[in-house]
Amino acid sequence: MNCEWITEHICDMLGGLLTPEEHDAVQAHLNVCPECSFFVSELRQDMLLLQGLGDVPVPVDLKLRIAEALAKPKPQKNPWRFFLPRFAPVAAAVLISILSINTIPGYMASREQLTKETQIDGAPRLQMAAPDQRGADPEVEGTGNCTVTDTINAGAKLGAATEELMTMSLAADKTEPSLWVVSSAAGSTVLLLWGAVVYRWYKKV
Amino acid sequence: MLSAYDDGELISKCKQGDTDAFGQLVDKYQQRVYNITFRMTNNHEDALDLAQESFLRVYRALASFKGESAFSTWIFRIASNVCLDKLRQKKRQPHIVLSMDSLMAGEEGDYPIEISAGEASNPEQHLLQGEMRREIRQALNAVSDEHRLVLVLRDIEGYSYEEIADMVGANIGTIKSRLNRARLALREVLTVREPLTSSARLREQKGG
Ligand SMILES: [Zn+2]
Repeated sequence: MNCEWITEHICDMLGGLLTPEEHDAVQAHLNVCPECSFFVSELRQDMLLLQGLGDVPVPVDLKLRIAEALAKPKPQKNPWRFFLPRFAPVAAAVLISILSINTIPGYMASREQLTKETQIDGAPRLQMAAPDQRGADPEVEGTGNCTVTDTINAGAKLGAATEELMTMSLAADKTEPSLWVVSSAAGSTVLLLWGAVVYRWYKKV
Repeated sequence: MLSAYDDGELISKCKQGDTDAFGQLVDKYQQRVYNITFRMTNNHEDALDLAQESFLRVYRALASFKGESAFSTWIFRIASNVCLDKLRQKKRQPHIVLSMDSLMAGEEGDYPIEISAGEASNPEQHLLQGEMRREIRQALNAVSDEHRLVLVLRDIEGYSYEEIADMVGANIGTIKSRLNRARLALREVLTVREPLTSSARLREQKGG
């Protein structure tokens, strides 16, 4: 038993958590060590003072303030509230896609009539167009986590690609694009551009 | 004031949206919650804010209370966390000096001093007692937040080591050693500040 041990076991000592042997050893040390004896008595008195602090009078407004806070409607942190009004243009973009699907068949049909003269079956054309579709889709997905400029650039790029695709289809019978490539590319372009606008808006708010 | 229902009944009523039942829980626990928030901040303005915040968090989290620990322990754990969060937040804003007003103000702000019976029977002792209490409160305010919390929970409020371990989210061994260091830190503050007061005067008072 030494002074250090006493310092390290104040909690157990003051809490009466020592074993009888430890207790006796501490007592023996305190009897011969005035520093520790004084120190322990001071700590005991600190504890008594802390215990004596007792209850703090509770302000009467506490319950009132809690009741008022509970009565108030919670501030809604609803992300839909922000995005809902902005869905209208998105819906428009989807509509454009659908419309393009519905309008292009007329154009396609007319082209098909022209091409039927040189080609018997339409199937090879669709197969040829398929790689284009695969090429376009990763680009659309890849822009998901990009910055605004990236998004705009990608959107513009996609727009240019779509245009190119359409010119190509007009220029050469063999590279006529699939219906889905044209319509989905047009729709995605509008969607992406609008996404960029909303994102910028969101950053500003 | 005393509720006719036990905590479990009141809690299930609260979960059904009964704010009166919650009012009864507030009645039951506000004293002990306020003791914690006041002792942690040492001023009534912050203590009131934090007590309110604690009860609102309790209300919002009631659905997640599954009864693994006693409801009282759960409330005091929330109150302790609210206090520590706020104190950390205040430290990050150094221009706000916590409870400066209370250091200037008298004992327990504007509230009258309570003296336990038999301890201070004459005006002199009354003054001495008040001074020592102010001193210990200031010393309490000078130790770290974690140390103050265990001192408040153990020495002032008298919760068991098990309860404190549950409230603080540490094991009993950690609580004991933290309390040990907290008591030493408090003693050091008192020794540095007023080497002649507190224990010396208390001894004098008790002897006389
Ligand atoms: Zn010693």
